[in-house]
Formats: sequence, structure tokens, C-alpha cells
Amino acid sequence: MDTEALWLTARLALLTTVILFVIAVPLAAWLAFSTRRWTSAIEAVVALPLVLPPTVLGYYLLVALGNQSPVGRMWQDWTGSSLAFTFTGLLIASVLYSLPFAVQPMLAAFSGVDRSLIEASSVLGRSWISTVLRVVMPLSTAGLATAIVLTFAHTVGEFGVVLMVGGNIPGETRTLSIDVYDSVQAFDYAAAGRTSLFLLTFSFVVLLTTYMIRRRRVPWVHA
Amino acid sequence: MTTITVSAHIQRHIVDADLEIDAASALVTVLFGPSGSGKTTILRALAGLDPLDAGSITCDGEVWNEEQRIVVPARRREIGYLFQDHALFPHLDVRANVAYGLTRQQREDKESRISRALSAAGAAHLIDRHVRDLSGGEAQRVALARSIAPGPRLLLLDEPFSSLDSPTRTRLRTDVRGMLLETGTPAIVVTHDRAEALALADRICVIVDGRIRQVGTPQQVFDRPSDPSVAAVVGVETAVLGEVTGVRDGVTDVMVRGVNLVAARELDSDNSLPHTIGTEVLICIRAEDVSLSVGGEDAISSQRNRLTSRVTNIAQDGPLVRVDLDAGFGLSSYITRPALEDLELAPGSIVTASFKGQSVHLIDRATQHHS
Repeated sequence: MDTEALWLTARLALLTTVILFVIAVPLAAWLAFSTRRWTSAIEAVVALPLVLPPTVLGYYLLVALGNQSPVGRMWQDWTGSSLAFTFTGLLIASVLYSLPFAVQPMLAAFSGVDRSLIEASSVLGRSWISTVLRVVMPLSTAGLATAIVLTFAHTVGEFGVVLMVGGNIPGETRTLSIDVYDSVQAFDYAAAGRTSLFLLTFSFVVLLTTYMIRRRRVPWVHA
Repeated sequence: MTTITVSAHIQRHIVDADLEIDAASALVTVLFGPSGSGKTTILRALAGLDPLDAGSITCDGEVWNEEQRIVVPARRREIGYLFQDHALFPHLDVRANVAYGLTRQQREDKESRISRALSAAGAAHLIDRHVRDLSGGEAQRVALARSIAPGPRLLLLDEPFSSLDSPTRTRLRTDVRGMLLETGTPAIVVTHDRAEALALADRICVIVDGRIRQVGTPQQVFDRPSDPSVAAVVGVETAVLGEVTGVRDGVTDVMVRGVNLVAARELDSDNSLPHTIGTEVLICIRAEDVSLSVGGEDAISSQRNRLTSRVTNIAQDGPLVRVDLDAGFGLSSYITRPALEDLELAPGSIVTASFKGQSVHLIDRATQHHS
């Protein structure tokens, strides 16, 4: 198995998970508790990567990150390198692509927190941020754990977007799923089989963990 | 002693109410009315938990709500709010729950504040417990401690005892009034329970269908309902203050303005706990329980209370006749028309009013000295 691809995949998944956790917590909290009219629109945008073909998302990202776009040019001027076909570009793509896998479990968990606890917290003088940190998150540990596990696993498994935005540069954008594709293209079925078995086992263990978290009866989680 | 004035015009859903609270004249205000009358809606608006449809709320000259806008959010109102279902944080222990609302400065003497709040709420022994191991009554005491720990300017209580069993409810509401008086915390209590209103209130606002129908002392509201809708809600014709003078086998002796009455101790209600001699109580007697007779005062009867009274007023009330009496204190009786004719009653007539000990309902009122 290509250890360089394994290491790169792990690094990508880990960074994506960390970044998404930081983004998704406030986003999910806002979606769970805001009463504004356009929350549904934001929810739909967040869920888009679930239904959009990865190639479509990849295409838009490629255009947005490329040297012809303002973002791509700004990045180029600032760092001297391009975003497309680099690890950083791949990371941005992964964050967007895995967004629903982080937000949705959190949203479900946050919405399940007893409303009067949140009201109690604000009457007791706590700000919105403090309430999320001290009441909402501690009461949503199962949802948060599910979000982390799913984000990590989904990033490990992504293929279409990686191919579109990252291409296949060893050590830079070549992930395990690309490695399988590459091996098959080169008729190296043995290598493809090994990597595939690894990914299959990994995915099964991750899903098993998720369902075990969900089934665990936490005594202080209210219905 | 804390003083606070709240002036509110609240319009939200069915509610359209003008409310003036002045803690200097009445420490505990009870919003009393049937379920669905809009009491909780008013309380939540005062807390800043829900916006108004229209109107305004001003507290000590500071604008809290202006039309649909919440000017001062709930967290800056310095109020305590006791939820119906206690709303304790299930992931924290009792100590952390009580400490939750303390400000940064207050945290400097956190431990003493926690223990003071818990003792005031009668929950000092629960300090090391976890929330999930508390009974309903214990949880509500801890919630009370949590709401008073930061020293709120105003305490709002939303049907605070409705989910508790009867003996616990009785004990807790006496303790709560004692605690409010001792700490001098102004409070607004929402309830649909008559006994609760009488036990807690310095002032009662009767709310029917979203409107405030009457404001007054418990005595005024329960003695002289301003209109039939209030009368229907309050449902007690006689409510007078008295004092416990003796506790015997299953009965409690009370004295009202020089008149001795006997009250039977009922099971599973307010009278189920033995009263202490000297306790101030509200004595409630329903007019349909009072029967009238002329002559034969010496007869021995199972009706333990027999009072020689003078008729002050006679009024037709539906199919019945309401006879108001002066028995040393105001008392009313419902009788039928034929009974009225047989007794040949007129204002000024002298009659014997009698009622059983079970018809005398006692409601404890904690006073400043009561602990």
C-alpha cells in the first residue's frame, strides 16, 4: 500500500475534521436556535454536497480556486503558489464537501436540547456563546462525536472532488481513494485490492463506532 | 429590602394587559387565572424570553421592551426565573447548578453564596448531590436556590409547584414565601391554584382570557370579586385571616376577629399537616357549605361551627339566593328560595350559620418571623 497516500489521507481528514468542527458548531447552533426566515435556505446550502455530483462541486471549486478567479489570484499573489492541484486547495474542497456530515448530526443533537435549559441559561446571565459552550455542547456529546467520526470517514472516502480539484500528485494530492483508481488503471489489481480492503475495513469500523455511540444510553440526555 | 417598579403594557397572542408592579407596596404579586388565560405569556414577556406583539415594558425607568423589539435581553435583566419543570442542568451537580448564574465578582465568594442560597431554599443538605438523583420537590428547591443565588432584582415563578405532590407543594410554598420575605426578593408568581395564590400573594391580579380583571389583596379579590368572571375563577366566597389557637385530635382551632372556629384536618390537602399554634392562616369557607337556621341554638349537631349572625344582604344568584352575614367576620351562605321563605329572612334578621369542620379550609401564610 502507498504509505505516502495513507499519510496524506490521514492528514487531510484530520485537518478537515478540526476545521469543520470549529465552523460547524456555531453554524449548527445558529440553525438550531435561530428563528429567522432564511435559516431554511442556509440549511439547504449546507446540505447541497449530499446530493450534488462530486464532479459538479469539483468543477465549481476548480473555477473558484483557479488562477482566473479573484480568490485564486489573491492566494497566488499572497503565497506565490496556486490553490488548484495543491494540498491547501484540496483541504478547502474537503471542508465544503464534508460540511453536511459535520453540521447535520450536530444540528439534530442541538435541536434535541430542552429549550427551557437554554432559557434558564440566558436568564441566569449567560451569553449565547457561553450557553452553547456550557449547556448545549455538553448535552450533545453523542451528536458531536458522530459528527467528528463521520466527517473524518467521509473525507477519507472522497474521490470525485479530489480528482477534480487535486488531480493525482504524489505527496501533494494523491489520497488512498485516488491510489485505488490509479492502481486499477495500471492493471495492478493486487495493490488496488489491498488498499480497497483497508478502506473497507476502516469504513466499517467507523460506522460501527458511530452506531454504538448513538445507541449508548446517556443518563442525562433528555428525550 | 429591594424595591423595584415595573410598568408594562403587554400585547402578545391573546394577552392585552396593563401591569404595574411596585415591590415597595406588595412584595409578592400573583398572576392568578385559569389555564390558557395568558399568565405564562405575561411572565415570559417580562423575563425577555419572548418578544411582544405590541406594547412596552419599563423597569425602574429602564426600557426593557419597546413594541416588537427586546431592548434589554433576558440575560441583562438580572431576574430569577423558576420554571415549571425546574430546568436544572442535567450534566451538572447541585453545586455547579447553583453557581451557574454567579457573575465574575460574585465568584470570589462563590462557596458562601452557594451555601446561603441553598439554605434559604431549604436545600443545604443537597449540595453534594447530582441533579439526576433529586426528587421533584428537591429539584425545585435547588432550582429556587439557583435562581436566587445571583441576587436577582425580581424573581419570576411559573407555576412552580404544579408538578409536585400535595404535601410537598404545601410545605414548599410556605417555605418559598418565608424565603422571599427573609431575603426581601420581589416576586411575581403565576398560578391557577387558589390555595397557592392565597398562600403566596400580597397582591393578586386575576387574569381571564388575556385581560387583567381585578387587582387587589387576596382578601379583596376573594371577598369581593369585581365581576362574575373573577368570581367564577376565585370560587371562594369567604376568605379571612385568622390565627391558629389550638391543635387537637384531628382538628385545629382557629380564631377570626374574636370568633372561634373548628377546622378538621383533611387527608392529603392543606390541612393535612399539623399547624403550629400562633400561625397566621387564611380561612376559606365556601358559601354552599354554610347552612342557616332560626332558633334551636342549643341542639347538639355534627356541624361543629355554629355562629349567631346578622343578615346584611340578600341577593338572587342564579337558581340560589346568596345571603351575606355578619358573624363577627363576613360570611356568605347559598340557600334555596323556599328555604329563604321558610326562614323569613330579611336584612337585620338574626340567624345561626353552621358548617362542618371539613368545610373550613386553612391556608398557611408564612410571615416574616416564620422560618
